[in-house]
Amino acid sequence: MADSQFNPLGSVTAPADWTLPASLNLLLKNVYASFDGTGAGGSFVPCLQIVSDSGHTVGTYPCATTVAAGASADVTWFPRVKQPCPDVPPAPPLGQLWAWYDFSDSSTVTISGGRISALADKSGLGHNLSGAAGHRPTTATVNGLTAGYFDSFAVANAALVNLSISDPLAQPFTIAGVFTQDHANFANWWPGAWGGSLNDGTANCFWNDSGAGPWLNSGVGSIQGTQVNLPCTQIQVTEIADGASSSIRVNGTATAGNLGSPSYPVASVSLGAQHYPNNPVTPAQNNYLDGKVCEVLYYFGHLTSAQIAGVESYLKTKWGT
Amino acid sequence: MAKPLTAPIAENLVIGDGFIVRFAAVDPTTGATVTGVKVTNVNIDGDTLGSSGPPDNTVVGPYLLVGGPDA
Repeated sequence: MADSQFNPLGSVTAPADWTLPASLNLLLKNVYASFDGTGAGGSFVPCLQIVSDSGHTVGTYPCATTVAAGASADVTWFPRVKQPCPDVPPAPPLGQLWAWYDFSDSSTVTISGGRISALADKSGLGHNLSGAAGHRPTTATVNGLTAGYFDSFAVANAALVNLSISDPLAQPFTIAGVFTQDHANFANWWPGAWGGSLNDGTANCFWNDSGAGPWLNSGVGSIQGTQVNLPCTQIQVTEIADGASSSIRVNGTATAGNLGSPSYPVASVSLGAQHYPNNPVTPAQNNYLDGKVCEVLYYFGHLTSAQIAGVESYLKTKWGT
Repeated sequence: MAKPLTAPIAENLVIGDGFIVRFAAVDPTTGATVTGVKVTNVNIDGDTLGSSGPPDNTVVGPYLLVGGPDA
């Protein structure tokens, strides 16, 4: 292993590419660049992207700070010294958050009697969750960070819910998250990681009892994502609910589909309970998650490909998917 | 005066032959490319790995940075 410095020449217009020379593998230590926004068409976020030789974006690393049009910034990217800190914001926060649930941020988690009684929404919009006594999840560790453990085979129907949302999230919207599914599938078990509640067809992410899934359902239709066999360790799922332009992405692999009409908004939120019949307290089926939910972000709108790459990179790095 | 900023990249991030390091300026709301932003003074510091890399003490670079898509 030898230290190498690369100093590409000149002044170029962003986006600017540097292609790694042939026969070279490089462990990145620090990357530096000056961004001159004197002639910028608007405010901007300096962003570093790594693109594989097959053209796949394998990492997107934006700054957390927006640079005003006409201003400039000298940016240094450096590897995380350890696993991401719980207070690292989504990268990039380019979309507008409707809700953000992050079990690794202890400031948002309320523990009562050793179990999670409440989880605060970090978006600032107040879509906080709570768990009914006797149905509360506990905590577990995923990738060195604290996750919510919905151990529904130990505590019946563990879930965190908000059934009183006054500002539903209408389509199009995007949900990205990370969770585990710790139990093999069996009959009459349609466990979910996140979703609405009480009404079949609200936005959710679940398996059916044949083990097929995960699925996105947020309308009269549904889309099955790339098959993940149960049980599974942490996976990253992104769902875009946008009528005929919907898709579900499982560990970065997209499956497109049509959710049909009517298109349901997120009018309530549950973590740990779905698919149907949906009642987070008294289910007719044992359809509750036996697994860990790590983090879930709800965004207004159909995020752009760059925004999706950003939030997926953030989740992938943080939770080791 | 340019504002100094820092941002994290993944730990133990290894890039290989043919990979691209892209410097972009994106809109904070839409993620679209913002026009008119110049990138200068690029410096990439890393450890070369494996037998395919240059030997110790080899001077590597400089390399020409070219405009990427939509530049």
